[in-house]
Formats: sequence, C-alpha cells, structure tokens
Amino acid sequence: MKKQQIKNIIVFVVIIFIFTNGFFQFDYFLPTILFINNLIFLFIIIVLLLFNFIVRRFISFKPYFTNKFNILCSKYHKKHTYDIPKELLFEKLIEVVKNSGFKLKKSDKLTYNIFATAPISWWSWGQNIYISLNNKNDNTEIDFYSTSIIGIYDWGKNKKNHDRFFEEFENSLII
Amino acid sequence: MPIIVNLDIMLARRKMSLSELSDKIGISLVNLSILKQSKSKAIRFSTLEAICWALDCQPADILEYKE
Repeated sequence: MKKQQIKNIIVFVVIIFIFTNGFFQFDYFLPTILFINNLIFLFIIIVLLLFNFIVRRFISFKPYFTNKFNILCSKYHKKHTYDIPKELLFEKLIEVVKNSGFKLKKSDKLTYNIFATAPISWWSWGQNIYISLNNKNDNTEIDFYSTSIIGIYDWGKNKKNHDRFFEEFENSLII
Repeated sequence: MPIIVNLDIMLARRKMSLSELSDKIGISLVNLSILKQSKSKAIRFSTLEAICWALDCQPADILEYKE
C-alpha cells in the first residue's frame, strides 16, 4: 500500500470515530458502553480493511467472488468474442488493463487469466476484475467479471468498469 | 476483411524483424503484431507514416485491397 492510501484510510477511520461520538469518550459523564461501542465499530472497520487488503492481493479468491450463489458481492459478467489469437489477445489485454486505470495484480500466461483491481474510492471498497481467455471455434472469448468486494448493490460501478475496459480495448485496436 | 496488411512481406524484403521495427518507430510489439495479422480496426496516418519511413516504402506497399 502506498503512503497516500494509508493516510486516506487513517483519515477515514478518524472521521468515522469522531462522528460516532468517539471524540467524546473522555467525557466522564458518558457511559462506558459508548466507548465499547466505538471500539467494536473500529474493530469491524479494521477487519473489513484487512479482508479488503487480502482479497485484493490473491487471484485464488476468484471462485468465491464469481460464484453465482454469492449474493453478498454484486457482480457484472459478460463475454465477448474477438477474431484475435489467444496469445496475442492476452498481451494486448495486459496493456489495456494498465491503460484503463486498473491495477494489474496477476497475469498467468499458462491459464490465460488476468487479475486486476479497481481503486478504492469514497463510495466503494473497490472492485476485483477477473479476465480469462478461452478458445471458441476459431475465435477467442473474453470472460470478464467485475465484482464488488463488499456490497449487495454496486451502484453501477461494475458495469462502469466493464464499459471502461472494453472502450479502452476497442480504442486500442486503432493503431 | 478485404483490406490486407502486407507488413510481413515488406519486413522480409527489408530483412527487418518486427521487434526491430517496433524499436525504430516506438509502437509496441503487440500492436504491430495485431496490425500484421490484419486484426486492427483502423490505422492512423501517423502510424502509416512511421512504418513507411522505417521501411522506406509507400502506403500501397503495406495496404492492399482484395475482394
């Protein structure tokens, strides 16, 4: 994690702490339960941050996020077919991931899998992006998943990631 | 597609590899490979100009129309 990201997280936690009356915890007249409540709230925030930090690092969580029975994480799934060889398309997609503002976490040329993340913002915990390539007749099929890390409703973020990625890809085919 | 890119023929004539051309004109190897295989959607004039300069040829040597 970059210094700026850590700073943003600390600011976020402090703001939440203040807004949940954490600031007044030293007031002797307030019951101790308020302080305990704040501690629990902080603990939940820290657990969520740790969860976020772990799942945004490893591709092995893909089955969990892309599972259709997982209703806790909203997802957007779409398949596209292109008349470009798989090997070439794989290299091209890595280039596109970098240019479309996502962070490339892992790319596996043996299984033709790409794992990238969309940045965390004030409105979301970030999204995981899973791309896999498969042969379909003489063409190559791109299997695209954008999944929210936490959240039943994604406010259109996943579709936006998909549109941004494929717009960048289409534009990159103009050489 | 009826437009065919004859980049591989021109490269063979000039005895130049695709990576050499990529280094010379500053276009990534992936993009040149896509162009060579006629899989690109369009070609910019600036790209065409750079290729013609590097291979010392005319646009017609690279692009061909076949029905």
